[in-house]
Amino acid sequence: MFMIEVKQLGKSFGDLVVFRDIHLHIHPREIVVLVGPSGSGKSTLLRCLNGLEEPDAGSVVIGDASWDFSMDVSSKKQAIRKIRTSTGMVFQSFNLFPHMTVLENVIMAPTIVKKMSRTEAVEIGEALLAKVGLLNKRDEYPSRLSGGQQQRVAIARALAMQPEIMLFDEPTSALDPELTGEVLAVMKQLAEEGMTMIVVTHEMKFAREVANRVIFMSDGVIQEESTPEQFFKQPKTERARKFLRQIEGVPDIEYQV
Amino acid sequence: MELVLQNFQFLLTGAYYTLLITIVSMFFGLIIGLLLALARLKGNWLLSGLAKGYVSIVRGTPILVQIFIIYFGLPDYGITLGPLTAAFISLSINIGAYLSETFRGAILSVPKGQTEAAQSLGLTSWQTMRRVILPQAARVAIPPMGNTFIGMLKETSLVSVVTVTELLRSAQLLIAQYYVAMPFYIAIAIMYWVMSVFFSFILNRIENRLSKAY
Ligand SMILES: Nc1ncnc2c1ncn2[C@@H]1O[C@H](COP(=O)(O)OP(=O)(O)OP(=O)(O)O)[C@@H](O)[C@H]1O
Ligand SMILES: [Mg+2]
Repeated sequence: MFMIEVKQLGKSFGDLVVFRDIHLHIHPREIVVLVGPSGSGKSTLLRCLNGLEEPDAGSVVIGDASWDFSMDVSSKKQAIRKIRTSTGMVFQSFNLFPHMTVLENVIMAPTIVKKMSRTEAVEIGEALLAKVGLLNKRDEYPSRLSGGQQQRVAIARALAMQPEIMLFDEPTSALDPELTGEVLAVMKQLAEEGMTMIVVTHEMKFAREVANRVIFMSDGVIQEESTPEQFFKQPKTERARKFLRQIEGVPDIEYQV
Repeated sequence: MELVLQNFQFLLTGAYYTLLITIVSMFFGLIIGLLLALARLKGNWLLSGLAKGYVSIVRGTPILVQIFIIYFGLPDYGITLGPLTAAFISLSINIGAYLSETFRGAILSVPKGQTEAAQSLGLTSWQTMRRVILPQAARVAIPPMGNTFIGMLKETSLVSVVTVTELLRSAQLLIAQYYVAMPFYIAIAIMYWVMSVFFSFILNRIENRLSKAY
């Protein structure tokens, strides 16, 4: 039984084919790190899994919700609604709601979408803020927090909907290097607790330590997928070798005169 | 000067009507403006086209002509309105068009990431609008809305032409009675000015409070 099952997924923007024929199977509790060069469609793929972009081919099954390109508009809408309740999304730019306090950010969706009572939502919200180490900031506005703190609140906000799967799109890319650790630590803890996660990141150390599987995307297709050890030690494709050289800052031979 | 003091009560009643017309038309203008903005941003081609047409017509014609159409034109079709009602309606229609542009800009100024975050949490588009977008747009819209409000306070003088006894017409009636103009005009100029300053002050307070969270 898979937690996520993606078949023949395709997405284009006008003439630009971002990817096509993507197949993806993810088990419960699996941590998948998605890497690839800029513009290879990593964000677009995550966004398709969450209904923020609409794929133009294929099917997505997440938990017990399924979306299929051939469905009619209203079933699609319903499927996306259902998919969104079982997935949480964390964005590169945090996207906290600036007009709400930290706690309000976290409890808003449970009270509005799940119609949870305020008392119950506050209880859950405070527990989550404690988990990400920010209970003492519950009444602050996001603008008063550091980037790392904002991202941890954003994680708590997504968790408050009790998702089965968490999607992370470069959660530490907008942070100063000294602040990435606190966010990665929270993600690592989540992984240890058994959350199913797909993480787009350039943090190769995180991929090595936490991921069960690395998926390398480039030129609109999944080029290879393997365990982190295998991917980092013996990448199968030349594209991946080139990518790894670039990311590790080793000068790329092909570009040398 | 004595004449002004003797008739101060009468002028105050005029000022009351000026305020009443401003506030009532602002209130309905706000609703119309919000609906128009939403129609333009979220409606299908027909709704957004209609909203666009409305705004274009209202902004492209003199407010005095709009008042005349409502008060003198509509009776030709059997719709006869009292002067005050006609004032409320024509000014609400007018403010609505201007405010819709303010609201539209304010809504568009909220970053896309806000909508995406709300939707990824499972909020419907309406919930996203109401809980996430509009509160942030309000903060952007309030300064220009304040200017519209104060502008309207002065524009209400136009409805004196359809015999609404607001501040300007109160003065004109007194002038007709006493055959002196200057003291009354000066008096109402001061009254308009005091009201504008008062509302600017209140609006500044509101703005400061709203910006606290940021
Ligand atoms: N809304 C959009 N409209 C048009 N083109 C888009 C849109 N979103 C993404 N693209 C294009 O799709 C391609 C894939 O973009 P995507 O953001 O998914 O890449 P990515 O792998 O996440 O890159 P990065 O590592 O820079 O974040 C890019 O060429 C991008 O320009
Ligand atoms: Mg991206």
